[in-house]
Amino acid sequence: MKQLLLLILLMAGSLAHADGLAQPDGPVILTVSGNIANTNSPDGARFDRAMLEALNQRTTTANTPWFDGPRDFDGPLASAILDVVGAQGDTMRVIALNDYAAEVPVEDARKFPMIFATHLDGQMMSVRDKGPLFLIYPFDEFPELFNEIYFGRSVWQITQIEVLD
Amino acid sequence: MLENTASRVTPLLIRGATSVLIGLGIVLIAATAYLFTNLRDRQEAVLTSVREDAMWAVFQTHRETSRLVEAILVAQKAGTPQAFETVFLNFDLVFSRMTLLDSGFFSERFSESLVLREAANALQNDISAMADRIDSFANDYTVLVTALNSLLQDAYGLQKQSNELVISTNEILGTARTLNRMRTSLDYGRLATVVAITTLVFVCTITLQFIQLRLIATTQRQLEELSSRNSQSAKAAQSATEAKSLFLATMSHEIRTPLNGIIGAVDLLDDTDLDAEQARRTLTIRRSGHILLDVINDILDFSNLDANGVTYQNGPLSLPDLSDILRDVFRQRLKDAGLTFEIEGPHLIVSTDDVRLRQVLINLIGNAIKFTPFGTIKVRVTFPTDGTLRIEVEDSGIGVPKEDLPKLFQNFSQVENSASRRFGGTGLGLAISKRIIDGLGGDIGVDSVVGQGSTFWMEVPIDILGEAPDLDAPMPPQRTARTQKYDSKVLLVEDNAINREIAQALLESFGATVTTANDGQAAIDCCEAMTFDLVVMDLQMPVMDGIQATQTLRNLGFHMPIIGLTANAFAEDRQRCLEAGMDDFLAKPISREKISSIFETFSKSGEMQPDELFLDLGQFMPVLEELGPQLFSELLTHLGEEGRKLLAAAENNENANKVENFDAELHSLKGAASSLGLVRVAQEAQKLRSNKKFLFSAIEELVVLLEQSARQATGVIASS
Repeated sequence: MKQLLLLILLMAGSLAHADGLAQPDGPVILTVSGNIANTNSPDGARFDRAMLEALNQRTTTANTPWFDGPRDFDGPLASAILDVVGAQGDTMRVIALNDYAAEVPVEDARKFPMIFATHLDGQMMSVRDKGPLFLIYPFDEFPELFNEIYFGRSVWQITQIEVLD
Repeated sequence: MLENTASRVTPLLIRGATSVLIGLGIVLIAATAYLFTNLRDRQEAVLTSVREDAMWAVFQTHRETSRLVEAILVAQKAGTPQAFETVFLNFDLVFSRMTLLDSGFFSERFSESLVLREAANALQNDISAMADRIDSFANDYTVLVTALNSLLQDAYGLQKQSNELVISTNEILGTARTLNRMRTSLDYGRLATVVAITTLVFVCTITLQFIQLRLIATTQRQLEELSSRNSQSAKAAQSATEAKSLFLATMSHEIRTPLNGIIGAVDLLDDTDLDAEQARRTLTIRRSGHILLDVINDILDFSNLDANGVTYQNGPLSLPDLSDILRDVFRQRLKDAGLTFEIEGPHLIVSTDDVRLRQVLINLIGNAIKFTPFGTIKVRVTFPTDGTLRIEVEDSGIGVPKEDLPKLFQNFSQVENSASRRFGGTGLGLAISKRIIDGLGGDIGVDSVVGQGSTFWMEVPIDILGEAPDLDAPMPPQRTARTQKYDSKVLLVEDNAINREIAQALLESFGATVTTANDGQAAIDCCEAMTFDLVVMDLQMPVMDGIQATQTLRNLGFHMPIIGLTANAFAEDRQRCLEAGMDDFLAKPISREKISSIFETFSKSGEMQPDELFLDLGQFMPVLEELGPQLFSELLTHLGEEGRKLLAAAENNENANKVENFDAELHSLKGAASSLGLVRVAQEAQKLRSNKKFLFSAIEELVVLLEQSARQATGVIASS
């Protein structure tokens, strides 16, 4: 009977694994909630740093209003995160540690290779450096993005994403 | 007058306005360019917006410090590790703001203000200091608990400083906003100025266009009025010219007709036995007549030149002949004037319009005689080049003042007004000469010295045809022509009684039988009744003119020569005659020479074949031999009686106009005449039978012919 229960638990575990969303091992730095298909907790999909770094990465080198000169930003593609959680909404609410929030169209993530940067010039970004995650649009490749609309959507110190309908 | 001034001023105004408009346009372009440059500067608007973000950032920093204060107060009360973590997190958030104030576009904005910079630096320094202290407690909450109170004081400090930074930033941004608003307002002002200038330029353009349209409309109306006035005056001038031409043509015709009478009558007088004195006077009459004719010709020529231009007919001109003609023409006048005349030139024949050239020369020599009181007139004929004939007429006369030379060849021009009284003439001669020589492609001119004389010269292009015949070769005696007789039946058609009489007399003097008719219709009637060898026909006649009559005759199938006769001696008239079907053309006045040449060309000489005209000797002689003179004479007498009977029958018969009534008589007459060899009678009788119309005069004529033939036959019988 116990063996059977263990088997069921194992199957459930493998089922969870089949969702493609493992449990975070390290400290959780991002929680994605809302209208998503894949979760790994009651709160939604939780990511530690390793999980995020396992996703499709991109380096964006761009001038930004927040730093002097062009800088290198590394991190997972926003589309990769949305894919892995099975996001189904049109908008995501990106929330910062200080409760700052911005609504970003999911379309942006599909149209532009925007990233949730974890590294600045190869250095991991701490909270003091506007980490752990900084939403960076590809300002270098798309100069038309260099305006207040996208600056406002470029949230830093991101800790949470809500996918809205 | 006022309108004129206005219409003169308006184009000036428009020109000025156009310049102003161009100036305004340039200003407008410059202003627009300036404005755009200015607007390009404002592309840094993004940076302005970033500056607005700075306010947000500073405010956020202040907010983070407040949250740090709150977190520390919570941690003091709760003392849990979670609360401590919140303190650390909130400090990190404050710290992250510090670098923001020092980098990116924000720093650029802050550097503008020293106060702001100092406040920002102070805040940064305090945050750094607090960071050092808080980091030392990071892993030791027990120490942190004791230090919370001092951390709270630090946090309050940060809160106060960040608040000051907010206030300063707001103040700076307020100033910047005001400045920006002023700049924007200035831009709007400039924009408004440019728009105002644009509007002004547009208004000016439209006004200018309007004025121009008005002006064009006015000008067009004036042009229309002018052209209608012009066409009216042109019409008036045209009808005046036509009236003048008609008057001249009528007058010249009216003058020529009696003149023809005078000249013709003199010609007839010359035929009579005149003594030397009488001969000299008839010569004077004839020459005066010709001079008068020249004047009329001048006027007619001129009006004709005016209306139709000149037509030219090239022909051979013998220069020695020309010399003779000129000597002959001017002999009397030169003698009267007491001048000597010399003419010299090569013995050549050249091709040119001899009539026109002679006309010009006669004019020039006539002028020279007129204006030379004594001395010599010299005519020199030379060839400056192979294709050019130069004729100079030099006189030793009064000469022409230099200033008057250009006037000489103008219409109706005479050097002095009194000249017309002193010298007479139309003043048209040189003008006509110039037009003729121009038409021949040549030049005419004059060199003159007052008191010494003038040399009129002309140069015309010619072809040299060859040597002229020897001067000494005997000329055909003129009298031979006069003695020549022509037994021709001539129909003379002329409406003017005097001319008719003279022409008839001249024709009869050549031995011709002349029938006369008053107009074209009468001439046609005559031709249908009788046979003529020659018709001399005037062109201008009442009822039916000569051209129409000739056309009708030709259409009816008459083939005898028809000679036109007119006062208008121009090539166009000649052409008109030939086109109508005439064979030749005689210019009035009719003269003996002209008639002689016509007879020579178109008629058989009366002396050549009088016998064969009436008798066929091949038939006549054998019959005469057979019958014997006695019987033949009786038969002739009998035939004569038949003729007279026919005449009497025709005279009495009411239906004499029907040829059928006499066909039998004519037939027997024809047969008898034919048997006896009276071939002409036979022919005429046969002709009468085939005629549709029957005239008593034709029967009469046939009888006359019969009697003539009988006389001739009797003569032959007597001589044989």
